[in-house]
Amino acid sequence: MRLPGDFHFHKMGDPWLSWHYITANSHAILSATRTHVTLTLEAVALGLVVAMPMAALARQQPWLRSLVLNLCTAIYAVPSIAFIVALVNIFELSSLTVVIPLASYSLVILVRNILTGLDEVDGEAVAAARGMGMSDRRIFLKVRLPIAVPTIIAGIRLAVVSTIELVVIGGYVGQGGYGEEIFQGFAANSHTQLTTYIVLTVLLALVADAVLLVAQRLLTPWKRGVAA
Amino acid sequence: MTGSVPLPEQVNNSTWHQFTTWMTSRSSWFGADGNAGVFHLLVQHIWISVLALGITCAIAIPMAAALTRWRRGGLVVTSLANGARSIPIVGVMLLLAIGPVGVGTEAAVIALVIFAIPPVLTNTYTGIREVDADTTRAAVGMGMTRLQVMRAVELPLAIPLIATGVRLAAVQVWATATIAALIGSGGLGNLVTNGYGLQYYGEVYGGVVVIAVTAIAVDALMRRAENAIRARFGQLVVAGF
Repeated sequence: MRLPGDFHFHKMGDPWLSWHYITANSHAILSATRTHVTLTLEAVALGLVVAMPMAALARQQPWLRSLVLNLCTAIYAVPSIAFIVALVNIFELSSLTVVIPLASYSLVILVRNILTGLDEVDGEAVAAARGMGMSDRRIFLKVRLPIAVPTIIAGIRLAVVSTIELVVIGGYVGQGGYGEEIFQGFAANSHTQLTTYIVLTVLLALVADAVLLVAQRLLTPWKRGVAA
Repeated sequence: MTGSVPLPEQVNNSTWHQFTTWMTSRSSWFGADGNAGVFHLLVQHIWISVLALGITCAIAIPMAAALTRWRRGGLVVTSLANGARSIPIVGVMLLLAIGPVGVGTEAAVIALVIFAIPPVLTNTYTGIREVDADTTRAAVGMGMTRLQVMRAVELPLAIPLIATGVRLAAVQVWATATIAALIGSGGLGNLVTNGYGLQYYGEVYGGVVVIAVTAIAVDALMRRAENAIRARFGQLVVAGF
């Protein structure tokens, strides 16, 4: 059986967490944070770009809807490490190696939330808009989409938080971010490095969640005061 | 080199050729020269997953039952579920491996259990809380003790939702057990890590196919099992999933 890296047990002077480690490695931490955030944003953005036409397609016919949703679930069931390593041979060091799998995983959340959001739109609101002489296109942009925004943003929040956690696996194929530091810490048998970057991943997820919650409030002022 | 006579590696080095060779060779499925074949790894994968799922249920179901009896139980359940979602499971697994547990199946199973508890816990908790208060009151009126009410009334009524939780946990465990190969506890993930380590993409792609097919099959099987259980034990109306 092949193991990644050498293992040395009983290492001294390697605390679970150390402030000194953080100050001494602030440069590496900042650069890993930048990469991690970039990869997450690229993945969710690509996921959104793909999810929108998929949701539009799913709204055409009931059978298309179940086809699209089942496809997303099936993709989601594929373990990330297999998906990522499968792309290494094709995209090599390009960030697409992790961005494509993570974008595919975000579909299951994004497509479902876009569909739920659009389904929530009241028929009377659409009828009223039509009565005002709006075209279908304008109805979609001015009525349906704004009403669906809270649910869609809730989906984006969920997608961002779970993507931040999934980016870590990219470290296995050397794709920057906290994951690479975590795998390096594993190879170097360093508790400090591992725990620091695990805690940073959790913190980043919490910060991203809070930022998106604020964005959701700002984008939907009419919903203010109503529980998300 | 004349060009008309290709060297052996030029003929046989395409990824597609490696893949078909790997898929059709007996040794990749049954193992050879001390290397575990797909079937051996599959058994390991099933063993790790069943063990993790069993321990998860043994912890999460009683824990959820106990939390329903506590005023702040709901808060604990939601915080655990939200907290676990943002913790990177690979990190925890690697940390356990270099930490007190050491590389091997134990570290993998512990990490899998930690992350499988939230879905079972949340669904069991909701399932018990959704049981009609009149029903439990009637059971108390019949002279049942609190433990009897839980065992004979509330848990059976919560079975459909418990089944949903176990299904979600099982699919997650099966997928995540792939990562366990990184810390030397075998399983189907070995195909990918081994192939990647040797830069032998025939094995990588063969492994990806095996892993993807089994993962989708487990998902479909668990949905079937869940539907059968729901049909047998009735359906509670609950939001989500």
